[in-house]
Amino acid sequence: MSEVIVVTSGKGGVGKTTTAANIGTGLAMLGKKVAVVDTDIGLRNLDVVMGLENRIVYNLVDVIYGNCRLKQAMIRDKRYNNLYLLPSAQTKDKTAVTPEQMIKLTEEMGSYFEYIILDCPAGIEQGFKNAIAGASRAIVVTTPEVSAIRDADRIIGLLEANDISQIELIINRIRPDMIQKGDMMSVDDVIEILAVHLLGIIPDDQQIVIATNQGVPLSGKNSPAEQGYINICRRITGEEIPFLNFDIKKGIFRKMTELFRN
Amino acid sequence: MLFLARNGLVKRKSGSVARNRLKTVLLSERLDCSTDATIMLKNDLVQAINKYLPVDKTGIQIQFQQNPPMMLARIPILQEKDSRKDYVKTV
Repeated sequence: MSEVIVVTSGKGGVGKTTTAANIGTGLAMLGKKVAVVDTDIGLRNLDVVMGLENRIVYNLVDVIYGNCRLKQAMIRDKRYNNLYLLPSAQTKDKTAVTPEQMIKLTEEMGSYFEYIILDCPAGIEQGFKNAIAGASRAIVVTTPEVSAIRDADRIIGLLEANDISQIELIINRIRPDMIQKGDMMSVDDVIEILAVHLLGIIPDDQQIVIATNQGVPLSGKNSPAEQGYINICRRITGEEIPFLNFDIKKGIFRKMTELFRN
Repeated sequence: MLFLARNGLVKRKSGSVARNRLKTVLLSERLDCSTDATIMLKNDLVQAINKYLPVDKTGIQIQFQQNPPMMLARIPILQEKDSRKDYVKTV
């Protein structure tokens, strides 16, 4: 019944945690029962992005070691009572948990939630292996930069090798003005290189920084990036939503210079 | 214009530079052999075909897919009279 989705990227700092928080919140807005799980043991962050850092009592490692029951560790969101966070441990490291234990945990959570979103740590080591163990579906986050795309390609290969068949891509921090000038790879370029199904595109947007500062994801409602995340959530639930269009109106001068350039 | 671009007098936009660099890097990583080796492989392939058929060197695309592992080469062949009509050949 439930879907376990891992949000991963390989490279750090491309927006995995932000994406996990926004997708979790977006799915909850659509009325789904959602759990977001921070699997980054030792470097927890999803709690501050969600604004729930003051409510942590138990964590993922406590649940796995049997120090508490699952329900005791799950933190309910401030705004949506169908959204829960399972925070990570800050004092342990990645070796505290095994992939088998993660599979058992996600199976147990599956009886309470429709969507389980796993926020994966950066890298391809133990933490990554733990995070993908229980997942049936993967969202790869990348930005239109050579380093992020190269790592995304490696991650896609590893996900395929681990029999995760449904792999989808989010391209984050798109700058339409730079693409227009030819100084950033376009969405089509990235898809051509990675050859993977596109789930959504998120423009570079100040509102995301503001929402993260406040610890309230999707608080600005109609900012371009938040619109992008809501569209992604709808696509996850199976709706068909057209992609955002960032075409900037071209003036006569721009058209002329492009003509000469080509 | 092409002449100017080849001699570095017209700067290529950084977006397309990035795309082409990535393609080369990923090509060699997926194959697990060095960047130089894949470039040499590509050149050898083109030369071999060029012995028998005229090849349009500007339109060559070589891709590697992971599942199932396969190399796909799209090598346009020049026709004798109208020179740029493509034939697609998959190796």
